[in-house]
Amino acid sequence: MNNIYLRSDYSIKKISKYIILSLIPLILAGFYKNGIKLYANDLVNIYGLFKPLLITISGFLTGIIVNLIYENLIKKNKDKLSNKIFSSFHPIYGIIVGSIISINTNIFLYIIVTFIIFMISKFIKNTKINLMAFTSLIIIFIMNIISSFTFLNIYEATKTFNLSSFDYLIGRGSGGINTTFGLLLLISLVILGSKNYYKKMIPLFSALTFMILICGYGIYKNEIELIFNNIFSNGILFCFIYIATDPISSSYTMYGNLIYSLLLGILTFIFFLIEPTLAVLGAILIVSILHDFIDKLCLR
Amino acid sequence: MGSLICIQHNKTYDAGPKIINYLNPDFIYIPYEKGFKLNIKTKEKVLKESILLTKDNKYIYSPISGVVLGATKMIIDKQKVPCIVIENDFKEKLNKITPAKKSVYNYQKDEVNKLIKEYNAFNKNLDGNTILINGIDLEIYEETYKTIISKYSSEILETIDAIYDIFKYHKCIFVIKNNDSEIIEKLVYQIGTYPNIELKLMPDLYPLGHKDILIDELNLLKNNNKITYLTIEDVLAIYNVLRKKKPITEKIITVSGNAIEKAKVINVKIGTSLKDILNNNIIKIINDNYKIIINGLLSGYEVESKDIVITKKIKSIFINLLDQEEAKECINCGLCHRKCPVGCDVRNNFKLEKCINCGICTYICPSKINFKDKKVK
Repeated sequence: MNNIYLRSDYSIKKISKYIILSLIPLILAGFYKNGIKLYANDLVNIYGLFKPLLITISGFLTGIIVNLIYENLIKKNKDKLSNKIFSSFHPIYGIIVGSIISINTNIFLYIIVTFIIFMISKFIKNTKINLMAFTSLIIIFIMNIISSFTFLNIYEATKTFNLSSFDYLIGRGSGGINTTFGLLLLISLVILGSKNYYKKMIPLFSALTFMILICGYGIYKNEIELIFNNIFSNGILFCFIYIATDPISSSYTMYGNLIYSLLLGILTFIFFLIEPTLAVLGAILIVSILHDFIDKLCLR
Repeated sequence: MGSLICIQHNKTYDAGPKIINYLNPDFIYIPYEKGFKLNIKTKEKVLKESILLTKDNKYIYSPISGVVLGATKMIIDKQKVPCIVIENDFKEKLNKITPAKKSVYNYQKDEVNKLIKEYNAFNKNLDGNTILINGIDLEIYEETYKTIISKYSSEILETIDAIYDIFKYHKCIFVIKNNDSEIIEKLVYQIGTYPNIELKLMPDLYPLGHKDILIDELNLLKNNNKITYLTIEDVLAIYNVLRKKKPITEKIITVSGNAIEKAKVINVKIGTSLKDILNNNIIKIINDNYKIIINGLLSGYEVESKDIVITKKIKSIFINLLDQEEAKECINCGLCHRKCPVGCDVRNNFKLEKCINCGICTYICPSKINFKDKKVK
C-alpha cells in the first residue's frame, strides 16, 4: 500500500478520459468519411458502414482486455475495476492504432496483432519504444504482404481528386481512418495542450521543423501547396499530436522535448521523401528508441 | 527555480477562525537534550517558567507548575527520546514576575538579542538590511500563521515596526496570501500607521511558504542583500518576550485531517502529548483507521503512535486516512521533474541535494508512485 496522504487528481484514468474526449470528434468524422459517405454512395454494405467504428472500438476493447488479463491473472491486483481497466494506456493505444491504420485493414488481423503486441509489451518493462507506431507498422506490413495495401477508401480509389489546402483541413485527403481532419486535429491540440501532463512542445516543434523543411523543399521544387497539403495528409499531424506525445516513449525534460521534436521533424521529412505514407510512423519509432538517451544527455 | 503549483482544496480540512485554548494538560513531557544540565530531581515541585535544563546561556523552562514524576520515552521529531515527565497541579504558580518595559519600542538592539536567547524564543540573528516576515503557512490546510495574524494583527504590526526601528533595516516586507480576505482586511485597516512595513500579497501557490522559495520569488538575493527571515510565530514570540518578559511555553498548532470531526487551531503548552489532546476530546476521531502526520500532508512525516510531544518545531498535526490507490508503473510523463520547484529529477537522482522535501513529486504523480520513500532509500 502506498504511504501517502494527499494526492492530485491526475491519474492514468483521468488522462485517458481526456484523450478519449479529444478523439471523439475525430472518430465521428472518420465514421462519416469512411462509413456513412461510402454507404450513402452504395459502395459498402451495413458492415462497411460501421467498420470505422468497429475498428476503433475493438482497438479500445483489446487494450482493456490486455489490462484486465495482466492485472487479474498476472499481478492479482484487487483494485477497483475502473482502475484495472486504466492501469496503463493500452486502451488508448488501441483507439489510436485503430485510428491510424487504413479502412481496408482486416479487422480480425488487426485485433490479433494488436492483442499479441500489447500482451508482449506488458512483460517487457525496459523496452520503451513507441508501441502505437510499432503496432501500426506491423499491421501495415502484414496487410501489405497479404494484399496490395492502400490508405485510400473505396470512394477515393475510384475517383481522381484535385484537392486544395482547405480540402485537407476538412478531411478530404487520404490517410488513416480518423486522421485526416486537419481542423479537428488543431482543435484537439488546443484542448490537449491546456493540460499539464500533455507534452505540447513535441507536436508544436516537430510540426514546425517538418514544415520548415517541407517549405524549403516546396520552394526548391516550385510546389508551394506541398507545404500545407502534406502536414494535414498522411496522418502526419495526427501522429505528432497523439503518437509522438506518448509519455512512456518520449522525452520528458524541457530540452529533451526540444531535441526529440527536432529529430522527429527532420526524420519525418527524410522518410517523407522516401515513403510519405509511413514516414511519420517510422520517424517516431526511431526517435522513441533514443528518448531515454536524449533525457539523460539533457540532465547532464 | 521551477514552477509553483496550485493545490486542489478540500473544505473538510478547514479549521475555523477561532483559537481553542488547551492549556491544562495532565502531563508535560520535556525532552532531555544531550549536554544539558538537569536543575530538578524526581518528586520535586516545579513552578511555571522555572528553569528545568541549562546549557551555557540556553534555558529550558517549565510550561506548567507541578511535580516531577521521572522520565519516560516519548516521540520527538520522529524518534523516541527520553523526556522529563511533570504532572500538572493546575495551579499555574509562577516562578517570578519580571517587569517588562511599557512599549516594545523602548528596547536597544543588544537587549533584544539577549532577551530572545534568554527566553528561548528562537535561534536566529536579527542583523541584516532587509527583514522578511513570512505570514504564509507552508502547507495546504495548515492555518497556524493565518490564525495568529488574524488574532494578533495589532501586536504583530507593532512588533515588526519596533524591530525595524531598533535594528535599522532598510526594507521591511511582510508577505501574506492574496486570498486570505479576512486578514488582508484587518492588516490594511491598520497598516497606514506603519509606513515602514511593505505588505505584499502573494498567490496561494505551493510551496511559497518555504523560506528559500519565498526569498527567490521576491528576488531578494540581489545586491548582496542580507536578509533577516522571520516567521509570524517568531514575531509573536518576540512580542511576548519584549512586552511580557515571558519565556515561550505555548505553541499554536493546526490539528486537521479527514479522520477527525472538525479541524481546529489549538493553543497548547509546549510539551503536551497528542494523546492528552485526544483523550480530553479537544479533537474527536471519527475513523480509527488513521495515521498521524506531522507538519503537513505534503512535506510532513508520519509518526507511529499518539505519544508524540508538541515541540516548537511542530506547526500542524494531521489525523488522516491513507490514500488507498495502488502505485502503477511510471508513465514517464515527467511531471515530477517539471513541477519540482528546485528542478530535481527524483527518478534519475538529478540535483537531489537541492531537494526541499516539499512532496510535489509524489502529489502530482499520475501513477501514484511514492517518491518520498524512494528518496529516503
